[in-house]
Amino acid sequence: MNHQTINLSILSDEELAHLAKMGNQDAFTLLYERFLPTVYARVRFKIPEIDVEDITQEIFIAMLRSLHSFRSESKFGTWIRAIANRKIADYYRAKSVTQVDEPDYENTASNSQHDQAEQFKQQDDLASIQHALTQLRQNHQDILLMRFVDNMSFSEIARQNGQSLEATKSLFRRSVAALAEKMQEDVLEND
Amino acid sequence: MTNLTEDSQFNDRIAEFTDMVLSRNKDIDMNDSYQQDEFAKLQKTILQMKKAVQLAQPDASTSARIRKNLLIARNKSNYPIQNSKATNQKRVRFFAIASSFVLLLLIGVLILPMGSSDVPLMGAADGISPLEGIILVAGIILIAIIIWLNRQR
Repeated sequence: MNHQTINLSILSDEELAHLAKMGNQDAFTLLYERFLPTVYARVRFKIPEIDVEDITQEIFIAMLRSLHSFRSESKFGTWIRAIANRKIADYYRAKSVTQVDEPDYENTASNSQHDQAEQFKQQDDLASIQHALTQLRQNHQDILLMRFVDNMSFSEIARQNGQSLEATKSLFRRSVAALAEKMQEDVLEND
Repeated sequence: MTNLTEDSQFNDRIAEFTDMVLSRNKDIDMNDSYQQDEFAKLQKTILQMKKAVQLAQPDASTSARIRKNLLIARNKSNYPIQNSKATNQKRVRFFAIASSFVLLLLIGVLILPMGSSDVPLMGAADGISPLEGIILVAGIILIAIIIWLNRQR
């Protein structure tokens, strides 16, 4: 079993998806482990914290259900990102919510006051980025998430969006500038 | 033209800075970097974004919980991954049986009329022997079963 897992770990996402389609449970588990961090972070940036776990789970269940329709010629990362985006859109359609909730400080466990203060600050930083990000135009949100969360290179993003590398870098810069602007606005509003 | 080139260079610098930030594990000290107004502002945002992504990762307990729930959901339902091996085996078995029937039917249709032409059977309808009749009925039933199974899938 262990030997099999070691062998599987050298396979590409697409090869794992093919094995998972054939019923290989270890391949599915490995795919889950590879994509949980990016899927979770993507959802975390788009959806109120309280629902992040449920939506992440729904995305993986949807992946499980539609794995048979995945074609190995396409990139698995692109495919699962499309599922994630669809689920996030479904969430907002069903709930008709548009804003990310404030972080739930009461449920944050901590050992000392200093740790707690640090944790609150970190949660605050995350919440302010989340809030600013959700206010951006869709293409600005997309490129920031692709580069920071999905860890795609600029060339990969350019290929995915059907743009030149120059245009992609320009869009990225404008997106970072828009994010900085929104965060500044939020700070001024809160003051 | 100069503005365009400067703009493009600025885009490249922002992209390079992002690549550098994301490829390093340790935090980057802002004092080490350029301090031009616009560039510094974007650098700060890039660093904040990287930190936010690190904070947005699931912890071990969340990861385990999602995985456990996913396994429960998978076991409760008949998702393809769970039963794909069994389904494939069933499909192979079904096609083997179906092919055998079709083959039998073909043999019956092609060979039997030649053998039965000399000896007419008592009580048989004109032009068709009882065996041919049975094979014909079996064939019709088989086709009906195949259509029904295809609809079920």
